[in-house]
Amino acid sequence: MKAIAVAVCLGTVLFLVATGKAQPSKAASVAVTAAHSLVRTGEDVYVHVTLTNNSKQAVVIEFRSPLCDYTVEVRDSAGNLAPDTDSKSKSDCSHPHPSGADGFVRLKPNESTTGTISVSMFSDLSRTGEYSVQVGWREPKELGGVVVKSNTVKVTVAP
Amino acid sequence: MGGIRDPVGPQLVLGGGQNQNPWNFGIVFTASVSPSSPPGNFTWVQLITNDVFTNTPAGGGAAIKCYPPENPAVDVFPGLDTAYPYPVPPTGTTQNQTENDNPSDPLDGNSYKQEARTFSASMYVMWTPTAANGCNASSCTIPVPLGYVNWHFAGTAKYASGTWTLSSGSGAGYNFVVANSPSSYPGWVNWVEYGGPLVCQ
Repeated sequence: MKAIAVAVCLGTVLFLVATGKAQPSKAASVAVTAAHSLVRTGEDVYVHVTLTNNSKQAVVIEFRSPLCDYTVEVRDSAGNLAPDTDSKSKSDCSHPHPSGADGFVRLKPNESTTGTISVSMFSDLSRTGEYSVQVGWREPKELGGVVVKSNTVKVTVAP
Repeated sequence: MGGIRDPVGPQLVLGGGQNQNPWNFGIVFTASVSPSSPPGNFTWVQLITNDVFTNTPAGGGAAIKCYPPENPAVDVFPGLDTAYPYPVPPTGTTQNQTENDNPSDPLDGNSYKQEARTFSASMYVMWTPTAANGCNASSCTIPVPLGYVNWHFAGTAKYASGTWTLSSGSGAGYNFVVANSPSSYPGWVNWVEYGGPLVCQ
């Protein structure tokens, strides 16, 4: 029997979010693994995404929506891009919107954090076959702000 | 392929936010298991049970109600918050994990002289046992619900002389509710994506 405890704290404050211009950098890296390398048609495809701070400074990363926090490129076995989902096509990442999920992770130098995202949010994987998945993530401005690409993983969608 | 969001301008936020104090979180959830438990991982899922914005036009007139784009649909709640699983990577170890949430609302001083938000949600935590060696299919292991926490907050910001100020704010989290049946899985009737501007009525 598992014991579980949940602690909660609350606070409210208003703050100003500033922006900065991105500069090239290789201070962060992204690695992905498939949550399941074999899924059935109709099931969502998930990947675990590990972000690593390779720099010598601590950074705070904000996560709001995978559709805007990451780019995901999905190709079938012939190399064709899988079509975007309606949600991906309609997502507006260029303007700020109210958020529900909106969290922060602090990474010290050489620390990593791993999250799970649904590839099916981004691309239509309803057809059976083998797909390759690559994730992109924009590193924090303090590290350069460039989009860092991950390795590629294979996922099979079976009947 | 898609773009990457880059927020600008003042926002009404539960918690400190990135630029002020990253450890002044709006709400923090911590889950732990016995070190002797079989190996596995936590999965977090949040459901929105209410989210209403009440905005007063800058030019005067009655306040208007605004909602995330999905809200005008019938039976929108409970709605999955943004993504499954909860899209913020958990911190901590497998046996002791935390999540946090700091919902935000960009403020528009050109359109409104006051903006208020009332929000409530349920954060679920589930446990997924590690699959047997060599078993890589999605059917090898499934998440099991452990329970959930209901929580809420409300805040109001006023705009005057070119500056937004927080005029009121409150919130609370409630006791952990232990899952005790198959119906304890988080279930939703809609997906609140928070992917577009508010819809005002």
